[in-house]
Amino acid sequence: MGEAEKRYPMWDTIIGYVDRMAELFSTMMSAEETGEQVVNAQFLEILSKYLNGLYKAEAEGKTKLMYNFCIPPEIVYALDAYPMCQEAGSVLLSVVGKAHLKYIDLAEENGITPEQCNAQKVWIGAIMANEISPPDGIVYASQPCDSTNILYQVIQNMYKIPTYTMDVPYWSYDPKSLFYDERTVPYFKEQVKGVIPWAEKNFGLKYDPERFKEIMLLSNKAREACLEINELMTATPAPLPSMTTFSTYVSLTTSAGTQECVDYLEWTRDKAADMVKRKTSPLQEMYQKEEQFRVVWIYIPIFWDILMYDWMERKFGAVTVMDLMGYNLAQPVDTSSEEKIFEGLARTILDIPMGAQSRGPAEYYLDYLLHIVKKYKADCAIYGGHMGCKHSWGVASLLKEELYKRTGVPTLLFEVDTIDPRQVSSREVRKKIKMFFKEML
Amino acid sequence: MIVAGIDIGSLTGKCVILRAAQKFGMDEILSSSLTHTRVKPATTANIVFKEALEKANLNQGEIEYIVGTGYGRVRIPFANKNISEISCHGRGAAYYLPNVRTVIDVGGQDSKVIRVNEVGKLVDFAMNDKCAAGTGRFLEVMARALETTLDEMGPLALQSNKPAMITAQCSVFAETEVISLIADGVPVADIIKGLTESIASRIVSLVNRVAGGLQEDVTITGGVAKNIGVVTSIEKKLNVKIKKLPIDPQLIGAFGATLFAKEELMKKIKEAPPDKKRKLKKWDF
Repeated sequence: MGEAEKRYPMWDTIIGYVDRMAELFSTMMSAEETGEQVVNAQFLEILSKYLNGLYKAEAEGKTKLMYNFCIPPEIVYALDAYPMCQEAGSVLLSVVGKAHLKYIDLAEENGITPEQCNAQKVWIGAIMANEISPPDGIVYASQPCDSTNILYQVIQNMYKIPTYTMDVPYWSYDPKSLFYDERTVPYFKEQVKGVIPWAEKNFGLKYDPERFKEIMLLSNKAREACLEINELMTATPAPLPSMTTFSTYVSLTTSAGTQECVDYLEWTRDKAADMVKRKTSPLQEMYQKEEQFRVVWIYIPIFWDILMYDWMERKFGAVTVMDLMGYNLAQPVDTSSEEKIFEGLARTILDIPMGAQSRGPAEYYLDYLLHIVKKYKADCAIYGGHMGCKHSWGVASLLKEELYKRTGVPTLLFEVDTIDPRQVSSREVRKKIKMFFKEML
Repeated sequence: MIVAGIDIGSLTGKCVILRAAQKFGMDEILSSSLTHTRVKPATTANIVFKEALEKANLNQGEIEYIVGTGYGRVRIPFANKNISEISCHGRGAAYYLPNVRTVIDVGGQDSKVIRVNEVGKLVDFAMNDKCAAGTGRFLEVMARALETTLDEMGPLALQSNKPAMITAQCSVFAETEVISLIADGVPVADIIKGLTESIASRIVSLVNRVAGGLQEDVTITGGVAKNIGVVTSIEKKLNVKIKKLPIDPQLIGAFGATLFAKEELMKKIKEAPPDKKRKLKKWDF
């Protein structure tokens, strides 16, 4: 009799919710009934495949490589390894319920300082509770912050496994440089290329350049679709619901380089294009409401209350047209040669949301904000500052002030923990948001 | 037309009844009342409203519009509308001080800095709503520890020119620190001055978080505005002269609510069909 498959409670909690929601959505208003697919379950299906892929990888004896959200998964797929995105696991667990809270507490009880970001503590606590699969190795980029860097070292120490850190360079401000200078890309390209010999040496993985190229071609299609979606969201009214930024970002972070990711993003893009053509919006079609406010959420969403976006739409006609993680700057990669692919991937990592804004002086974050506020014709900005994010709190007031001074766009700034709902309640946050829309704007 | 504003705060409930001038003349406060907050905001609202009605010799049916504000505003069953205390304080202060741009509200359990424009509209705000340090509750706790009263604290603070350093960030630990200072023989006036400086530091930090930072004129509302020690410390730290309000600053929230009530009522009258428009009574002029 074969050995029973080992299950991981942390992972299974997310899978249970995702699979159930995917099942529910797929039975709702099918194409046969309405002539058009009203609800798309593809995003949930991508997630389900990605999450269940962990068990498939273990059954097939594949190497499991943990990586942080500031690296796209294509390079891990290229090595035919399973990509375990640490933050995706932590974030998704906080989206689906409160099971992550015990992991945070366990991590803090065992020495992780409460002041640090909770995004990594979930996984660390799950390791301590023996409720998540250990990876075989870790590859991460040294961005966006010290907290991530330190906590990955903690995970490395706990598992005693090989770790590869891509050194992301800091640079000084140059308004003409478009985020990096002539030294950055060649340096970082070598950092990215270094993953291959490291993986081959430590795990016996076989790098296949042809496979890598195929993956990058798929990745390009997905990223092109994402760029088109971002352009279409500049239309008034916004052609997609606020939650789109979350779903596009999570799709790319977990599944870029797969056909499913391409299919989902292209469907989303086509849906948006159709809405723009018909000059309508999900707000009008689903809730018969007009768009009142265009919001840019200039930080990460509150993951444990992700439906706040939806509430803002229904209650105030406030559509979040873009947020920090959704505005993906990464361009399609030149696949004409292997060197070009690595260079393109290096640029993708340098341009990755949050990483790009966080690894230089505040002017880059500010320039990015000014750009999206103008591009998306925002009426207002919301900055729900994550409490554990020290370095972004260092610029929060500056961003708010400069945004108002230069564009007249007001920002609602408040503290919240985007992973742990116990710090600031949903009620408190929604009270502030309500006041902002009802009394300030 | 007669309107009311009810402000249910964490420590006190306030009510203002206003005879609002419709076209000519001045608005007139007919009465006001204040009570300590009960467990249920609805109970507090009922009590404070009843008191104000009695003082004005009116019955509830004569109040044409009621706006609720404050922490307990959504639980005032007879209010026609509720509006945040931030807007109400800003509006109320700007009514009396048209040049005011920064309104500091130090209430029972939170403190806020409100930026208003030239018509009293809310432009930005910053608040400390996570910690009682730097609020009325903080002073209450300290008054008990120092065996004095809230009314006495202000004048006592002015007697000191050597404020004790209060280092604790938290009310609970600050109380422990104050007890240690008393045991060490530090004069009470110096301790109280240290406490007012501590509150003022927090306020200054809030002021700097509001868009544009400090903009004059500046005023202060809420119960703590009656503490001359705190007001003096804030003036010193901000290097501004705080403009005094002509009515009890603790009532500004409720008063601001009456202004919103007046506005809503005027809107209703304007939108009413001609046969339903009320005839102007002689005392509205």
